Amino acid sequence: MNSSSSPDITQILQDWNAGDASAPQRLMPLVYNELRSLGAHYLRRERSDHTLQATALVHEAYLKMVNQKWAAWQDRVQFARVAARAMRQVLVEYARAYRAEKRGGKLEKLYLDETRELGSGHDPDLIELDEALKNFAELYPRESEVVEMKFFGGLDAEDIAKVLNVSTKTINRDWNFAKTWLCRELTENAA
Amino acid sequence: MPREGHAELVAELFKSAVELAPEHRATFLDEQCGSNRKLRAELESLFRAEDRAGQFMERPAADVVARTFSREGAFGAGQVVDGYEIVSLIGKGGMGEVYLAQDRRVRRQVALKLVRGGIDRETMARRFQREQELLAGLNHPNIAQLYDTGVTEDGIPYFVMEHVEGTRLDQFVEQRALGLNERLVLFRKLCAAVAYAHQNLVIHRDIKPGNIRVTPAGEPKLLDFGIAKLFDEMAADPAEQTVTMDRMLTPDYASPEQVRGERITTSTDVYSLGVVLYELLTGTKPHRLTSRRPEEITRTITEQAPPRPSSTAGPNARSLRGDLDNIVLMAMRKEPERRYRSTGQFAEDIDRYLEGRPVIARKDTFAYRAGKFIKRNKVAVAAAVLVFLSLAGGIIVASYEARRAQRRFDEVRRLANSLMFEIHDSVQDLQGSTPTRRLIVERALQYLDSLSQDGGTDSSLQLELATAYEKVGDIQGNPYTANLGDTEGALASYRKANAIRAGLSKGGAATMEARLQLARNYRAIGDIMELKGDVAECLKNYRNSLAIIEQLAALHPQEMAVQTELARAYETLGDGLSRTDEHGERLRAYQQTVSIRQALIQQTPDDLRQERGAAVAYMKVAGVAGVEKSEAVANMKRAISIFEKLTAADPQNARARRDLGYAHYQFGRILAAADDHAGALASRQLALQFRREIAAQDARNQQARFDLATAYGELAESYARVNAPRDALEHARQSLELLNDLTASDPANAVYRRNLGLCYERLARPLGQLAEDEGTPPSERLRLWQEARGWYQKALELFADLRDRGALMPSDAGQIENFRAQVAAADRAIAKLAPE
Repeated sequence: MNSSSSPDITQILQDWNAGDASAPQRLMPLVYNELRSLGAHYLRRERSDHTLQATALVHEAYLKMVNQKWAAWQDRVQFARVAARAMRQVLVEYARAYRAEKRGGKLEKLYLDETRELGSGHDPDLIELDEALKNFAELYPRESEVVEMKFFGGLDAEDIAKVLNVSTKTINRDWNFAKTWLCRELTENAA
Repeated sequence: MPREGHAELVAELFKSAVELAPEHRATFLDEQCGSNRKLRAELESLFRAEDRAGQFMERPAADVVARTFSREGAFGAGQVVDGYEIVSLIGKGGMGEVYLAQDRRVRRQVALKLVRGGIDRETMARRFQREQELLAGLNHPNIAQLYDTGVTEDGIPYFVMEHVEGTRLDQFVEQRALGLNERLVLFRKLCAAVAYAHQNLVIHRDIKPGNIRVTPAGEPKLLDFGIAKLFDEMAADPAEQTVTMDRMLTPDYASPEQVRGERITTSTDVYSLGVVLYELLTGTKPHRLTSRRPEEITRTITEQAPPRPSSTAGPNARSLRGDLDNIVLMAMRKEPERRYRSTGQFAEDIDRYLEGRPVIARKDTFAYRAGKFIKRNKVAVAAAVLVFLSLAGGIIVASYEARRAQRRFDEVRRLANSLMFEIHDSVQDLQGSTPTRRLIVERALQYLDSLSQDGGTDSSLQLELATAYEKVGDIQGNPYTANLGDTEGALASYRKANAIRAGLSKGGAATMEARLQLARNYRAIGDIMELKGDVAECLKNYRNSLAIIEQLAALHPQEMAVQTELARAYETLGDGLSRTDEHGERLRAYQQTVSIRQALIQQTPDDLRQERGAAVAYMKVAGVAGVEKSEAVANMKRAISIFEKLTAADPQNARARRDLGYAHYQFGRILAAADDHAGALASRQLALQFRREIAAQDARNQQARFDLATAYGELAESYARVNAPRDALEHARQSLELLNDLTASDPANAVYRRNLGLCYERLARPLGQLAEDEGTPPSERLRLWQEARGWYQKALELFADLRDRGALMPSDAGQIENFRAQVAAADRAIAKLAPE
């Protein structure tokens, strides 16, 4: 599946740094493919303890795809940005596949002890979230990118702050707002 | 489609508002949204979502996907467990799984809940057997029936319950957008179900929205009744601690006794129902449990008072003020014994609210604790208040940074209001508290004043400032409450408040409440003018007050508060007229009061304040000059019997005792005026008893001391009338001592001075009587007459001085002539006795 050769990616990143607006579009499918195959591998391998770390995936993809000799720090930042978007696609696709596998059967929220769910993480339906995030992005492009990088890309607030060149505090506020907005959207449309 | 500007504004305001404490958000919204309803609605819906958001999306998407792939239940479809055929996995969590299953024996769908506890089979089976008998006995339309319990071959316990197709309570009310009353009706059904279970000796222990489903027909069903107990028993085994930990992960609905691990009673369910109601009415949870540390959670739940429901930013917030606030907070009190006695009582209070009858829940907040504490130790309270005030001062100094300005502003403002209302009110009815009250309120005033100077121009702050001025005025010299006798200071404070209120009422945009406050302010100024003896200015203010309230009463004929004020306004005008000869107008004013009060009592038979109002009005009708003696006596008896009832209802209430004392005093005057001097003497003796008792409790309360002085003086007069000059003299001397002190502390007070003048006469008369007594040796007589003449002369001078300063009451117009005549008569007696 991995048809992209390493020099290509490095070249695209350099084009991007030089101001080529088409660079992200060209980069995206390459990263996506890489992540997808890496992700499948991880899911198979780590099924027993159920962890799948986006950052690890992205890092691995990066190492694999980008020629380290040519890459600058700037490239890494740009890569992370694209990788987050790619991760979103990959993960939403997994969710779709899972849903299909369950023949449309949807797990109902628990009521024996939903305290556990609330306490240790309120997991959204990724497919619904993806839709909601599209609407959100039209109104709030920056905040939506924060969601992409944090939730899908697994980056922490400090890294995102570096990528977007704003303060960590701003990122945290953006995140809190986005999360609330999306939570409202999903829980109100849950009917 | 939302415009870009709107979206930007929503994001910006939301980001600022989340940094505020939840109880400040309503004010923030008021200020920022103004009349922009759309903006406000959007922000409110975000605040509600914020509560739900919590850990939402905090687990990275990749992890979510990984977990999704690992979701598998212990049973597959088609598998049969003890006669239950598994249909599908419908839920899964940390403690187990829930399956939809078919009961093959009775052919019905059931919910089968598998509990992963890991306890040994026999123990589990035994416990289940015992509980099952109790739980299966619960048969109620609003309780999901427990059908069966068992243990699988692998040793995993399970419950089989009625399968409820429905929506979680909180989602149901949101989706259907139920109104306040509909929510209450729904909640009422839950209470009934819980009450039923309690009668059957089952406590739920884990009531929360997640355990409540509402069917599409709108019937609520409580799930998992009594099951929590089994979990807790498992947890008693140290190896099973995790079970309780899991269950307690979000202890939003857990009561203080639960988080402390104390005994669970039916009151625990009352508490949890209170939390559910809180959330139903406000859309938010009462506690923000931000920390996951057990000791933090325990502290929050056992110590922190939840914000009043009406102070949250929900859409219904305003309608919650008062009864619903009180109902919810009564159910959620920290001490089980102070909550509703039973779920049934809780339900009844909801009924009372829905039917518009007075509820039994009362405001708790600070007052109860403070009251209880203060009664124990007055000194400690004064010290605590001082510490509190100095801490409060610290907030102002410490947070001067510009970034924190808004926060500081809100904090200081909240503090000032808490001082003015909660803290002040909590000590108000306690005897001996007057100086503490002044300190409290003056400090509140300083805070508000500083805020006002810092550019707080919004009208609500201005109104708070006016209220603070009025409270300070009350403590300085409101003659109708315990006060410090500073008449001039009180007038200045009231006038400052008046300027603010009159300014805000201009243009007719003021609310009913704001206009009522202005009317009350005019009345307070009138009261002070009456004290100063300026009858014309007093009546002018009383009439201003009445005019505002009459307008309001015409606009709001059903508004109890306005009608009550109207009754008071007439009564007050009548009082003001007592210093004139307008007896007819005065009587009509009091009769108006009586008839309004009677109508109000019809509407709210349990309202003791209306009863008191009626009693006072009866008494005043009785006191008007020219009323038939029999009518006066009948009215007084009605009044006294009401006051006796009120005193019996609350023996600690100083005001009720003062009322009863005053009624006896007044009855004495009426009987005296009708020449029933023996009757008057008896009433006045009772009056004195009450007033002595009240004055002894608070040596600094000028009003109590003045009342006592008057009681001594009038009793002296009655003794003189029944020809008991020695008793008369003794009581008059007591009166004199008190009045001298009072006049020295407040020389501008014309009422004190007038009574001092009357007291001189009360000393003079028995001296004259003694001088004329046959048993008095002739050598004594001259000295007695000389002393009597001295007092008459002083009285004459004092009243002449009042006249010169324009402070003489018209009814006292004859007094100067009277004293002049008495001086002359004394002179003649002295002339007869004096050796040539």
